[in-house]
Amino acid sequence: MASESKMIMLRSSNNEVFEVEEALAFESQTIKHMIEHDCADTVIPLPKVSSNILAKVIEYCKKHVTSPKDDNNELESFDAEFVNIDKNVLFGLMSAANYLNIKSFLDLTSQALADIIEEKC
Amino acid sequence: MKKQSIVTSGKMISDDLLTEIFVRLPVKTLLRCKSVSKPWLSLISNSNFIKSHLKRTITTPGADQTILVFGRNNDSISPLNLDPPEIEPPLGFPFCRGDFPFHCYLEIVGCYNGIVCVCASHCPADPDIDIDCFAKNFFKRNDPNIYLWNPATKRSKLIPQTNLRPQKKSLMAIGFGFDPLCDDFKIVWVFNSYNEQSCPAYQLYSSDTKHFYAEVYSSNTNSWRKVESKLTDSFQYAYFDVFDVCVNGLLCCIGGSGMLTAFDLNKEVFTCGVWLPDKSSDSFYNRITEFNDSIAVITRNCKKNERKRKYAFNLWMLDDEACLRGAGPEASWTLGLTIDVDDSFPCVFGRFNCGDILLETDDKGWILCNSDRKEARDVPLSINIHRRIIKYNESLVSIVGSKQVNWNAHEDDS
Repeated sequence: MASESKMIMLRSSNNEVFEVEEALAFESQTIKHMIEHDCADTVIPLPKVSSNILAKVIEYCKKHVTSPKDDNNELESFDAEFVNIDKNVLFGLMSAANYLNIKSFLDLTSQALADIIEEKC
Repeated sequence: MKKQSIVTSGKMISDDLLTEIFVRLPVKTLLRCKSVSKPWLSLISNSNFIKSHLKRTITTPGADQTILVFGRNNDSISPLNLDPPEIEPPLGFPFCRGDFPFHCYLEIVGCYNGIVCVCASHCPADPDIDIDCFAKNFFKRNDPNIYLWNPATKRSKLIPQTNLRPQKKSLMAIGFGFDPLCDDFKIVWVFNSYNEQSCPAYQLYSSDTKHFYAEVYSSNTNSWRKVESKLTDSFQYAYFDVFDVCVNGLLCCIGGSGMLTAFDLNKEVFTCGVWLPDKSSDSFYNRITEFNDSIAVITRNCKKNERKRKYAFNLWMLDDEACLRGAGPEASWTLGLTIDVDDSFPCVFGRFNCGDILLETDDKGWILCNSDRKEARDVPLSINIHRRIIKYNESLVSIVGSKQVNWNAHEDDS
């Protein structure tokens, strides 16, 4: 790898800008599509995602992109801890996963919400 | 139960997202969720949601590990999980307690998309009755009640009597399947108009198809209609009384001629027969099944060398269903799996996902063989099935005109 990886800027609904590596941003099919089809300028606006949610999404993607492929146990416990949060925040994450089209994150968050409902129903 | 705390306060949850969550829930939970709010009730009752939920249930890895087994004397039906081996409590009955006050004898015609087609007949309570004899002639002798039953939602529909049969004839074969093109559950039955007194028994198996008469029931129209198509010669049904399996709308069986033949549920016609692969196999042990969305057959070959018998089970897939529609009796089959087993006289029953085959051993034991891992493991349960494997998945699918059938009076009417 000769060059540094390209950095992408993401702007949340409350105008905070996050700078992330392209590889990480590409976990989101929505963002990937926008960049590949030149639909965005230097900063990609994400009006449906607030800062605190976006920060957590980035944290998830970072962990999944940088982890070695065969370390399933570590990823599993990371994921389990990650969704062990207030259900409203969890719902916000699921909403963002859907909007940003990050399949593994959508699976994780929807399953966690399904588990909560199953427990309560 | 704090139902309100589940709903995210304030925001309206879009149906898309709710669907994403709900498709992951089991049927029992979804039935309870119906009473949380009107939007939830509406979403869970929606037929598109029900289809999505079913599709996800069926495609989840490990989904087809549950089969249906009978209780003693076929007086109950229970789901049995093969991995890990475990029998679950009985499913209940497709009728309310008051409707069937006698001993009942249940026979399953088939099960698709969570709907079980079950026949219930009064069984004499006589403990000396030869239950095997009763079973063998169940469909031929009795006029059973036929139900389309969803045991998970506890809803069932009693199939109406047919007006079509001009005179009482003897029921020879019955089959249940799903026609995906019309989104319709159908039952087909075949009669023979032989007269027991005047017609010797061997003529039952003749290929004289003019004495045969067939009807098909459609759950969408809730009515029977006569099948105009003639029975094809290959369809001498000496060896069976229930069609084995329904694949892509084709109800398949092995006719008395030893050929694979089928009833096309969508066109409502009998198809031609095609030869099974491997004429050197023990044809008695051939079983029709389904594999990777194709019609398949499991054949058994016996290798007698040294002092031990070795058996090889082969799973063959039919390359093109179209050959059933008139190309001729030669068909092309592809060998999918081979499993070698060292045991005495195992029969073969069905197959499961990931290349497992369930085998019955000589001493009524059961083993599950996996071709990939080349291992066989015991299933330490007594499995009471009648030759066919009937897979079961829970679903929310509802038949028009079905009603709630709660066996216990104190159960919730959900």
